[in-house]
Parts: sequence; structure tokens; C-alpha cells
Amino acid sequence: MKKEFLDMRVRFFLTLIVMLSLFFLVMALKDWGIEILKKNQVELSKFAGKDLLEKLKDWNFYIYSQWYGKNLGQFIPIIGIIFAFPLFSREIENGTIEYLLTRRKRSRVFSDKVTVSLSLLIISIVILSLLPLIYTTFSSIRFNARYVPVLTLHAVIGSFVWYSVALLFSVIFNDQVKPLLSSFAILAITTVVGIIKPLRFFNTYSYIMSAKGMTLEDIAYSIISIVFIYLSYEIFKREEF
Amino acid sequence: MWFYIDPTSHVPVYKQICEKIKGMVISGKLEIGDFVPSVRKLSKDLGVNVNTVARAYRELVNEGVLQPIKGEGYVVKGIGEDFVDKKLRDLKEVLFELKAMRVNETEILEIVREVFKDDIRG
Amino acid sequence: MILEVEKLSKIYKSGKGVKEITFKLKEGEILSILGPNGAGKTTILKCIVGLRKADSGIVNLDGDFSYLPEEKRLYRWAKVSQMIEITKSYVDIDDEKALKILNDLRISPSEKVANLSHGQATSLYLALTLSQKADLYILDEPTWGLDPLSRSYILERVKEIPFEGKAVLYTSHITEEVEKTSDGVIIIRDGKMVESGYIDDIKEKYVAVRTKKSEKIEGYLYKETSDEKIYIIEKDKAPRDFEPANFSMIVESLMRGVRS
Repeated sequence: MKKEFLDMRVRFFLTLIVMLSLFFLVMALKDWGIEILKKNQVELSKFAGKDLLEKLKDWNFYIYSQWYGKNLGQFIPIIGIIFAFPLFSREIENGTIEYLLTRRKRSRVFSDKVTVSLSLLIISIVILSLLPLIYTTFSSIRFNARYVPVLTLHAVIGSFVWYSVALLFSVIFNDQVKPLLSSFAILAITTVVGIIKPLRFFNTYSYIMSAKGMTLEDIAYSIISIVFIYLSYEIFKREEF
Repeated sequence: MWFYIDPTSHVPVYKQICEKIKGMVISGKLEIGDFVPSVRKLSKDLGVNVNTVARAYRELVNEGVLQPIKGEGYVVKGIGEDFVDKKLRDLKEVLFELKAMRVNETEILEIVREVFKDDIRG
Repeated sequence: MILEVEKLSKIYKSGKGVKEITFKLKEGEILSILGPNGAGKTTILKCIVGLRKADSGIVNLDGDFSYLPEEKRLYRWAKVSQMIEITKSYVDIDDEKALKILNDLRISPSEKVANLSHGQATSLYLALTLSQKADLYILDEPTWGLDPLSRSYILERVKEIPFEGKAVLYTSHITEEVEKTSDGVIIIRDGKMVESGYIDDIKEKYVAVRTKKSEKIEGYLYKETSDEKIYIIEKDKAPRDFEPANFSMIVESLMRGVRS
């Protein structure tokens, strides 16, 4: 399993560093952002309510809308995809899969990879979701964390879904580019399709950013992810190299 | 090293081993009652597979050159009944080779005469 | 019997593949699969180790195997010493043996795989494969890309394996190497076995016959010059005066497969 971690460490640390930097940027630029919006107050009030500017001044609103609702939120599926897409396709492309499969059982190879990558994914998402809470605890900002648990849950499940999609593509395709592009393509398509009200389920973004706790969607998305992972395993078991 | 074998020769390795051992018996290097090296030792020394040496020893047992003694190894028994026939067959093979190399019959008969020269006189 | 392969067949969509490959391998034996590139040698090995699935046929492997693939790829980010460590976490490795082979082939344990030349990477892979404790060593072109010294070193290590009661199955397209190392051989042409058996037996089975250009004879063509042809024929089917044939001649003729 150590080797799987070594294979992944660049993705893991880079993701954390980039997202951490983004967080600090969001927190630091609050006043600057509001100043800019103030200058365009007239136009702004046409798009958003008159209160938007006032609301943003409140840290709670700012953090929930800018971090969970935007910066972290939009990256959640992407992080899930990044952690999964090269899992099998890289080894297949590089040829090291032959080394691995002739020294370890296929089931073990699969479970090691999924265990390590999924654990690191969940750890990353949880850390990033709890960031505002951690940060405001040590600063003078008063932050009401009541929505943090449910948003964290949605973030974890949301990334899990896209992880499982990219995992499936990673097993099917023999190079690294195809799983990456295919996953993003599906992400784009489902998000657009989900704009149509009855197909809202397909827009995972609306789920990730919603703060409604313990709905059917939690279970539905989780089941889909598990199904995709199981499918990946079944395909991998039979694949020829 | 008892002898060398040539893996790239057209003569099978096990046969080369047989020939070499028989040659040693004839020249007196191996006497009747002497033990030949164990299969394992000879195969290690020659760098050939154990099965090949085992096969050579089997052949030599069949020809009456070696005798297996349980728990001890293989001991030299004698020259072997078919040995002469075998040698004649070998001679024929060599003659074909020489013929293919366009060596003259007279040249070869010269050699025969030379070898048997003493016998004819004596 | 460590390995029994019966009527193994696998045909790819391209039409290439192997048909009805059958052979047995005992403990303490070295068996080579000889054939030109593309003949199907790698396919046979991949079906035995489970990377590919045969269309039909039986593979009975009685024991553990250690495999060296044709494409000798390892993790580029790893150091040589890390590769030993990683491999050790998967299978039973004799550390000392691995380090000795690396030392003899002059590969530093602190070198990164990415910085190794093709020959050095092959040597590392060989060190990992040969130091693994197994009953059967399955090697795909183990000497390809190695310099002459390393090549003979590796062949010597391979020849030591039978003395530990283990067996070796390896592929090659270099007849002389096979002659010096193996007990038995399988000669493959276009995916089919054209001959198999102990090298010694094959040397006794075939002879060479010279003919005039016009003469009709049944056999495998070895060479054609301006005034004569040389054929390789089974001894008991040979017409008249024949000569002994070298193993290389026999293999070349069988692999060329030009029958008259």
C-alpha cells in the first residue's frame, strides 16, 4: 500500500496546497472584493438583490457563499476526478501493470489502490470543508458553523461520485488522457442537463452546495458511487494486458 | 574438470559425455572399478542439466560401460559390447563428413593403411 | 511436473496468435521457446501468468512463478533500493541475492529507475525476478538489450536454477544462447509449434542432405547456392548419404519453414 501512496503523493499534496492557497486568498480579499462591487453597485442591484452587498459584509454569508458555494464547491467534482483518473490508466500506459499483476492478486491490487486513493480523497475533502471552522477558531471572526457538517457530508459524497466515475474510466481506457477528458465531459453534460427541473438530480453541483441535511440524494449518490466502483472491479478482474 | 563438452556441436551433449567417458576408459584414465562423479557433481562441473548427465549414465549402463551401485554411485564395469559397432558407425559418419569436404578416397585409404601398417607386417 | 500446457490457443482480432501449444516442464529443467519476433512467444507466457486469457486449452501450473515481462517497465520515481523494498512487500525476495546481482552488474541501489539505461533497467528487473523465491521462473527475452558480459552473467544465473530443483521457461530468438543454456526447446513459427523436445534429441532427429538443384527431395530448405541445395530432413526419412546437422541449421530451417 505504501507504493500506492507514493504514486499519489504529488496529486494529494498539490491539491491541498492549491486549495489552501485559494482559501486564504478568498479570506484575504473579502474587503477588496466588496470595494469593487461597491463601485458597480447600480449594475449589481440589477442582477442580485439590493442586499447582496450588505450580505457579503457578513462573514457567515461571505464564507458560505464564496467558499462552500463557489471556490471549494466548484472544485469538489474536479478533485474527485483528479484522485481517480490515473489510478489504473497510468500503470497500464506505463506498462508497470504487468509487474503488479504478476506479483499480486488482482483483487488485492484493486483494493489497495481504491483504499489509499479514497482515504486520501476523503481526508482532503474533510480538511478543506473544515478549513473555515479551523481558521475562524484562531482568528477574531465569528463564524456560525451550523451548516458545516451537512456541507462536509455533501462534499464527501459529491467527490465520491465523481471519483467513482473517473475510476471506471481509468479501468476502461489504456491511457491517462481519455479518463480525464471523459470524466470532465460527463461532468459538463450532467450539469447542463440538470438545469431542466425534473432532471435536477444529474446536476451534482446543486447537491454539493445545498445545505439540506439527510435527503434521499445522499443515499442515491452513495449507491451510484458504490455501483461504479463495483463495476470497475468486475471489469478489471477480466481485463487482459 | 574432467573434460569439456561443446553445447553447440551437432553431437548431442549426452552423447559427448558418453564418448568422453568411454574414451577415458580406453586410454586408462578410468580403470575398471573406479567411480565416476555423481550425476549432480558432473552436471555442475560441466554446466549442463542434471537430466542430461543422468541420460548419459543411463546409456553407459545400457552399453555395459557403467554399473550403478545403490547408495554409492556409478562404477566402471568395462568397455561395453556394442562399443565397437558404435565406433564403426562413428567412423562412417566422419567419412561422410570428409567426403562432403571433398576429401579423396585415396587420401583416406592412406590413413587406414598407416594405422594398420604394423598389424599387416606383424 | 511443474508446468503442463495442453493445446493452448489464442487468436487476436488481427488474426495473429498461437495455436495448440502443448508442452510439459519438469522440476530441474530449462525449457526455451525459440522463434522469430512476432511468432507468439510472449502470448504464450502471458497466458500462463494470467495477463491474458487463452481462447482454449489447459494450463496447469503446480507452484509459484516469478515473471519477467517483455516490456521491462518499473516505477520511474523509485530508487533501485525502493524497488527491492516494494517487491519484497508483494513477494518473497532473497535480499542478498538481489543485491549481489545488482552489485555484479554494477547498478547502484541509490539510482533512480528513471535514470537507468534500458540494459540497466533490464538488469534490475532480472535481479528482482531471479531473487524471488519461486518454483518456476518465466522469463521473456531475459538477455535482450544486455551487453555481452551481462548476458553471459545472466545465463549463468539461469543455469544455476535447476540445481535448486526449480525450473525455467524462457523465450529467445538467439539459437546459440538457447543451445548453451537449455535442456529442451519449443520452436515456434507463425504461432504454431514446428518442433519440440530435448535439444539432444532434436540433434539426433535431423540430418542435412545436399542435393543438386534439379533433384526433388522432401525436407526443410536450409540453404541454396548456385549449384546445390541443402535440406534438413528427419534422419529416418533421409534418402541416402546425409551429414550431421548443427542445431542452428536445424532451427533456422524449421523456423524458415520452406518445405519442398
